[in-house]
Formats: sequence, structure tokens, C-alpha cells
Amino acid sequence: MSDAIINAQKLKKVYELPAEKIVALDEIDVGIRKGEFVAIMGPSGAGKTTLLNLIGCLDGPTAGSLNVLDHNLSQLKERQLVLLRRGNIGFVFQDFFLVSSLTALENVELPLVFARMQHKNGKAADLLDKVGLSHRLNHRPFELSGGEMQRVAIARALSTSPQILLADEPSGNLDMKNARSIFDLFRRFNEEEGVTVLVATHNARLAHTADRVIHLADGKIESEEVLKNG
Amino acid sequence: MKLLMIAFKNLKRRKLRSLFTIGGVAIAVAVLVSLLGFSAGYKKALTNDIDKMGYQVLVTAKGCPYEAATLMLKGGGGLRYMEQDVYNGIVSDERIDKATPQLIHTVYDPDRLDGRGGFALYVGIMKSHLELKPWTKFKSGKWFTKDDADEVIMGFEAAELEQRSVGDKIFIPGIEKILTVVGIFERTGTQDDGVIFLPLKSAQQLFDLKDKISGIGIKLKNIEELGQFEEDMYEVPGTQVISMAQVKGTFLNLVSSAKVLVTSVAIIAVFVAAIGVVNTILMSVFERTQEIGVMKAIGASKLDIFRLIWMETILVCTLGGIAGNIGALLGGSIVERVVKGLLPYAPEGQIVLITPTALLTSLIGAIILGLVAGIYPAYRASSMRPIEAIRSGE
Repeated sequence: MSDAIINAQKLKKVYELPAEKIVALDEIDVGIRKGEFVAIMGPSGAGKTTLLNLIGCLDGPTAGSLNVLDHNLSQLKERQLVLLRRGNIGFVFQDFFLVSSLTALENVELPLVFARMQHKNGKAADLLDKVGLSHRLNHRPFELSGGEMQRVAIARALSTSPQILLADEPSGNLDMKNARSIFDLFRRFNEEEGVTVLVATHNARLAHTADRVIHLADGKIESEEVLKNG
Repeated sequence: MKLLMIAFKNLKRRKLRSLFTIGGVAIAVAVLVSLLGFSAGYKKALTNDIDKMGYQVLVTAKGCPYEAATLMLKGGGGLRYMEQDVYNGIVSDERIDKATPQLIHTVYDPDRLDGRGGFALYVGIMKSHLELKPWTKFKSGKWFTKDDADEVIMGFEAAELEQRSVGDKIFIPGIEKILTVVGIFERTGTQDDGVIFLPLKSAQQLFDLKDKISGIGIKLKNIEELGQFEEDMYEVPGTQVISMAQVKGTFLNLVSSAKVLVTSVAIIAVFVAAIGVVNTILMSVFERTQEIGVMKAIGASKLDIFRLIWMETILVCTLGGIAGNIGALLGGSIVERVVKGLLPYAPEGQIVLITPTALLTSLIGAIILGLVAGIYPAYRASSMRPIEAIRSGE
């Protein structure tokens, strides 16, 4: 795929446990184009999270090559991986993982602090406005509902204006209504801001709101569905 | 928002635990401030006590008797002199607080002691004599009118013995000179009571000892330097050093004991506080493993995490330092009472002297404690691999 901003060739990840070896990804080839909205589906243990972690520079592959934004990740040092992740990749987790001592606004500002972009703090409030939480800026996570917390997490993931948004089971802890609104947000940011979105999900209905669905099973790509041609 | 704010908010998250840790540091700092205050106050109070004893060192010409009793046993003779230049040389030593030269001379007076005859002890002095013996007060009269006046000031007993009062004239047999009594000192309970004082210059002229002196009384700025000062004085040719050995020994022992006590307790207090801080912050790091992993995932570098945890530790210690300083200031009088009750010999005056230096030193000490105690927890946190940290909660 020539215009891919994520390109994996024969990507393999093996976890070596004391008792056994677990092949989480087994020599898969994946290409994601800029501006694509891709859903990754599969049962637990299929390798969805592993794939997102490798693309997000949180983990390294056992074999194969992985290029993200024209960087061969296996050639980058830890510091370079941090810089690549910090400026270009946003994360959304199933459990939200908001910092409980900080308000919604401060949580969204957090990546800006690490990226030394405090001068863009105004963007945090804008993002919270875009996700419909302008009235919750100064609420702490425990004062928010699950859906609201996930929307804060999305705003946080987008605060440094990343090119890629990785979401690992973002609707896993939400009811259908909230889950749908989260996917609507992904679609909105994908279309309006041009953010490339990769979402791992169990939910087939939600997955089919994406441009493309990659089905993983036992670390291999089982099938692909193209739902919308870009 | 800054890292410092994040660190502060995290401490607020576990208020009670943070308060206990801050309290631990505060107690250590309060102990440190009180002990430093005790060390300084005790030293000052003891120094004041010593000050009342006059000079700490007497430098005399080699072989010269320096005590009235010895002088009398030697029949008023055996006096030796050194050049006044020795005084001029010594007085510029930076360790010296005050110094005063004196010229001792004895004159046999056949009319003394109801005609049985005896030695009168004359001592030429300068006004610095009064600075070194501040308890010397005038019973009547005043200081000499000039540096070379033909005047005397009589010690209490010398005046009593000869039934002298201010304005009287005294005759020095052998010298054939008449001097005017311009003052009489109050009783001091020392050998000075039997002495007839006259201006140093006048004594040098009268006794034909131009530019000669018998000794120099010296008080040092810091009595702890007495040993080294004595050593140095032995190098001055033709002189001998007589120190108040007993006083010096007692003093130095007391100060050294106080210092050992202060240092030991302070080390223990700081050590205990450091363990408490490391424990608390480390516990907090382990509890936040997942959060630290997420922070790394959203852009924090190793250094960011290290700084964040380090800041938390420094914050705890700084707040503890401030609280400890306040505690020490408020509880100073209680410590004073307790310490005075415990000490076998407590000098007069305030013995726990909490100075700005002690407060600042302790605060800086607390910050350094934070810097050191924070290294390991910060290192542990920064070394966490994001994936493993995030998964730790699963």
C-alpha cells in the first residue's frame, strides 16, 4: 500500500512466558492509509490489543517490520519512540484511565504538559466542547459517567493533534447508546480533522460504522471487509 | 498546568497518608532545628559564662611569674619582660576578639603592712583591660585622664589596706614619684583587688621599662580555636602561654558532648524520616503503576515520570520542612525547659537559640532529603514499561 501511514510486513509478536510461548501476532501484513477509519475485530486473544500496542510504540515486535509515519519502529531508540508517540499517536483505552486527582480539563491538558505544549491549553477546553462536555470541565473523573469519562479520554487522546488515534475496546464498558456516541465521535474527528482511526472492538455493529474491518483470529488476519472506498 | 501542580494534586489524593509523611519530616526537622538551636544556644550561653571569667589566654615573657602569689613567693622578683611589639604582632590575629597588654612591677615599701614592709604590686594597663574584665566596676572615681598620666586606680583591698580614697596622693619609694589616686575599683574577689593600676605608658616610664610588657591577656572570638591558638603562640619566641586549661577542658568537653548528641539524634531523625518518605512515595508509585503506564502511553518520557515522582517527594519534604520550622519556633520554649531539666550543668540564659540560620539550614536539609529520598521511587516509576504497567491492573 503506497499511501499507507501504517505498514506492517510479516509482523510477529511472541510473548515468552515461563511455561509457554504465546504467539499474539503471526506474521501479519497490514496497511492503513492516511485518514482511514479501521475497525479491528476478533475474539479475546486474537491479537487486537497487541497490534495496537505495536503500532502505538508501546511494545516492540518479535519479528517483521512495522513502519509508522515513515519511521521503521525497530530502528528507533526509546527516546525517539516517545517523541513519535507523543506528537503523532493518541490512545483511548477500554477503562478510560483518567487521572483521578485531575479534573476533566486537566486530564485533557496532560498530554500537552508532557509535549511541552502548555501554550495550547485552550485547545483542551475546545476539545471538551467538541465532545459535548463543556459543562464538565472542572469535574473530577469520579463525578462523571462512563460515557463522559470515555469522551474525556478521547479529548485527551486528541489534545496534541495526533495523526493517528488508537482505541482499544473503547466501548467495552459502555452501554449501546454511549458506545454508539463514542464511535460517532471517532467518525467525526476522522472526517473533520482527518485523524486516522484504528479501533479494536468486539461489537460487530459498531465495527461496521468504520471504513474497513480487519478480522483477526489467533494472531492472523482472517478476513477484511471494505465498507467504504476512500 | 505544570508537572508541579500534578504532583501536588496527587499528594492531595491521599491526604491522610501525605499528612502523616509530612508530619514525619516535620518532626525530624523540628528536632533538627531544636538541636541546632540547642547547639548554638548552649555554646553561646557557655561562652557568656566563660566571658565572665575574663581572658582565656595569658601570653607572658618566658619564665615570668604570672600570678601574684608566685610573685610574692619569689620576693617580688623574677619578673621578665617582652617587647611591646609582640603585642602589636599578636593583636592583628583574626581569631582574637580582645587583647590587652599589661606590665607588672613590684616595689618594696618598707612602710607597708604597719611598718613590717612588703611588696606593692603595680600593673600598667590599657583601657582594653576593662573590656576583658567587664565585671570590674568603679567603686569611686574614674579612668585615667591620659595614657601617660601620673595617676593610679587602686584595687579594692589595696585601697582599704592603705586607707586611700580618690584624690589622695601616693608615693612610690625608690622611684621617688608621687601619683594621684583617680579611682578605686569595687571588690572583684580576684587578685586584682590587691593591685595598684596605672596607665601602661606611665608604668613603662616610671619603672624604666620603655616598650616592655609582662604579658598579654587574650580573649578569642571562638573558644574552640583555643587549642590551635595556643599551639601557634608557642611559636612566638621568648614567650609562654598560660591558658585556663580547666575551663577550656570543661568547656570543650561540654560543647563536644553537645555536638555529638546533636549530630547523633539529628542523623537518626533524618534517617527515620527518609525511610518514611521513601516508603510512602514508593507505595504511591506501586499503587499508580497503571496510571504511570498510561502517562507514558499519552506522551510522558522516562524523565517526565522521574521528575513528577521526584517533585512529589521534594514537595512532601519541603512542606515537612516548613511545618517543622514552625513547630520548632512554637515549641522552642518547651524544649528549653526540658533540656534545662535534663542537663547536669545548664548555663544561664537561653540555651535553645533558634536562629534564622538553623531554620534555613533545616529547610535546605529537608529539601536535600527530598532530593535523595525521591531518587529510588522516581527511578522505579520511570523504569516501568508502559505496556506492563497498564496491564498490571488487569
